[in-house]
Amino acid sequence: MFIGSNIKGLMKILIKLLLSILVVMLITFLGIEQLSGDVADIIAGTEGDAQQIRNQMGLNQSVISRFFWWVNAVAQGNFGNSLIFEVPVIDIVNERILISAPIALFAFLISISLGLLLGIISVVSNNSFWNNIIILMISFPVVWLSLLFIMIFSLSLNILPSGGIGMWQHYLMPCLALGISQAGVFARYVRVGLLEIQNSDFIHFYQVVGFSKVHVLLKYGLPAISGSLLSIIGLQIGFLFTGIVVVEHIFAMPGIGDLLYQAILKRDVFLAGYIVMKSALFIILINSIVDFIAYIITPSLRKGYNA
Amino acid sequence: MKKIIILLISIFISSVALAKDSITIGMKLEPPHLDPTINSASAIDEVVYGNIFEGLFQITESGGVKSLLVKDYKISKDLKKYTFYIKDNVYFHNGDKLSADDIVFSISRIFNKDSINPRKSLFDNVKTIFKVDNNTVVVLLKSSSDSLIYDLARPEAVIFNHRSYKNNKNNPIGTGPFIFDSMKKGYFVKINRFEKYHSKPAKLKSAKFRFISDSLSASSAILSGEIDGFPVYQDVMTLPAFKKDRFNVVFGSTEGEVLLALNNRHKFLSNPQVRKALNYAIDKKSLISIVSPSAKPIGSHYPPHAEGYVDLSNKYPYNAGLAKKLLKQAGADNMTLEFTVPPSYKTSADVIASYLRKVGIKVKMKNVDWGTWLSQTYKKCDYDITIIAHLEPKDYGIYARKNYYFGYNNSHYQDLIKKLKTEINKNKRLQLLKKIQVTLSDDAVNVWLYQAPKIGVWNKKLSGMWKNYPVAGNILKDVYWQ
Repeated sequence: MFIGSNIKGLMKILIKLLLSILVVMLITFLGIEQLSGDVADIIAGTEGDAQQIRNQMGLNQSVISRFFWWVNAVAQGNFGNSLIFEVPVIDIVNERILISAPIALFAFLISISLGLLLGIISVVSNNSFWNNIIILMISFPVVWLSLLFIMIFSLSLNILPSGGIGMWQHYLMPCLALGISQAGVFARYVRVGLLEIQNSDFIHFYQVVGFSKVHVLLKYGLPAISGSLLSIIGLQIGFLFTGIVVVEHIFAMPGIGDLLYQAILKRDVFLAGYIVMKSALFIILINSIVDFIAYIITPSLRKGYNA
Repeated sequence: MKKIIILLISIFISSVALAKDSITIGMKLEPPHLDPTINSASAIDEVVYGNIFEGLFQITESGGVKSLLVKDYKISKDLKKYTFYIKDNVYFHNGDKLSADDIVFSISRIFNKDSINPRKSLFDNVKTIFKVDNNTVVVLLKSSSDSLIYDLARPEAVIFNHRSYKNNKNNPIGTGPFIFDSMKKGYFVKINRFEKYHSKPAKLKSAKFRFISDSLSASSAILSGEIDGFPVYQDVMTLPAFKKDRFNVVFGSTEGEVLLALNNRHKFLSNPQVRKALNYAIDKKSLISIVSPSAKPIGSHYPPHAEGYVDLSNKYPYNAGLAKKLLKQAGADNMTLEFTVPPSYKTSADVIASYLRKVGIKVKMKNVDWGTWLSQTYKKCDYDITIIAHLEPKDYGIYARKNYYFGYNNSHYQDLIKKLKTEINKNKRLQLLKKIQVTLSDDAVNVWLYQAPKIGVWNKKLSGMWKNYPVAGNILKDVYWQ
């Protein structure tokens, strides 16, 4: 009985996942198709024969038939060739994910740990100084922070490369810039959550019994708000993707964000489609995991599910 | 004394060891792949032209043409038969010897029916090409033309090895002074010196092209020494950061006329009076001082550095009052124009729009990306006014095309272009070129703004970098460290 319902649930999730991917594919495809100009125009330039290129690339068929051709190919595991780079999209994307993944991971770790730390300190210290720091961090756009870092560490001190890839030093500034700019937002959620909960009865109770405020907040307050923090983390990962596009551009790192930007500009529908599909899948996956963890650690959520 | 000698020797040894023989060049855009014959992206040419691939001829730094893979050539009197004699010591990077077959193959590939060469239309006039013997090739034209030699020097007409051409996108094999080494898409392309080169080998042992799309990142990479030079640098604002003791900031010429294109099919813009009014309405000098301080103003579609140039830049001097008057006479004083603005012309467009508004024209701005500009503005001619640089050299012929996006149709002008194609007398040619410039300016087809300068920034110790940009290319053969 228990296993049966779980399989049913799993099937539901899978169908939902497939439908989401199909919708993502459709939106990406139509989104790029409705832009005027196609990849053949861009390859041909002003004097070339765009029609001939369309014939050779199979772009002269209708939008609908091309979309279904694509869905069919993807269903069979063939993601196609990039129209502009003329190599399999999987190859080029995999190569670039290796550049973006470390940025994403470390920026994420920085933002979570720094955010948690600042959020807790600002509540515990009961001092507006820390709150101001958090607000300041939220107001630092990642662009500005990146340029500031380049100015200090590359141009003035000349201890870090201003851009590029290949060594670990290349990753320091982008990860810090992205991590710090996102940490502010997370810190704010931690702070608000802790502030709300510190007035609740059970926290008062523990304090009356004789535990210190810090101890109570860390040991009982934090777990109590962890469910909502987890869902915020899920959302933050979405924002992280936007931030990666920005830092990759500024630090001249040929990662996935930069590739997506190029793919859209050049109307490379298969490449853009594959990247969007892969990121969507990733974000859905992360959110499902986050939901699942939240479900396990938060009794109230479980209650909600059963009802 | 002994110590001093040892010190001197060690300094000498270390300086020899440190003498640089490689270079890292920055470029704004990355090439999608490395085959210049199937994609119009100029980033491809900027990496491969004159470095990896070579044509029968090569465009020179001053915009002329020199023989490269041919040792000699003959042109028939009627300008219809061209005979080329190929050098016999030319090898491809894979060891194959260059043959007449490679030439016939490469050039027919441009004008074949199923060709996707970005310059296909320039070779429409070629009737046939055939091999006479292993070192001789003949090209026959449908009608007389003098432009074949120049067109054969273009990056799109480079000579491929007919056995390896299919792999040229990712593993290019040419006859140039550098061999392709490796490529990391989106990041760099590395090339090494080709020791079996048919002329004097390159001075550098290797070179790397690095792609940095953000201009601020580009300037920091130059300042921090991560790249040695940025031959086509676009961000005028950051130029003061390059101090003279470390960098050369070099202003050269390009073949690019920056113009405000006017759709001559438009209800009001079809009237020359209105087009002249627009010419009077814009203060070119102040526009230039804002967007490109080193640029030269122009008054027709012709570069100031080219032979036969007539200075018409002051034909319609800035005069808002006169512009208003002309507009009123033509009944266009209340017209609305949609201004299509492609990427990187935002500032120029804002300045121009403010001048047009001053004379009562309502301007609607429409920002588009390159793909949209190509398909809507250029191909479908669906626009009122737009701003763009025409980088193509010797491209005054475009004004003779009736279906071109300018919508200019003047049979007198079309005749001039026809005559120029077959005229071989130099003085008569110069006369025709003058007439061409004056006719365009008289008709005020467009508002020609300025000749786009080429700004290059590189390390002061680098020699041999090209100052001008007569063609998309960063030819590194003669570059060396002082």
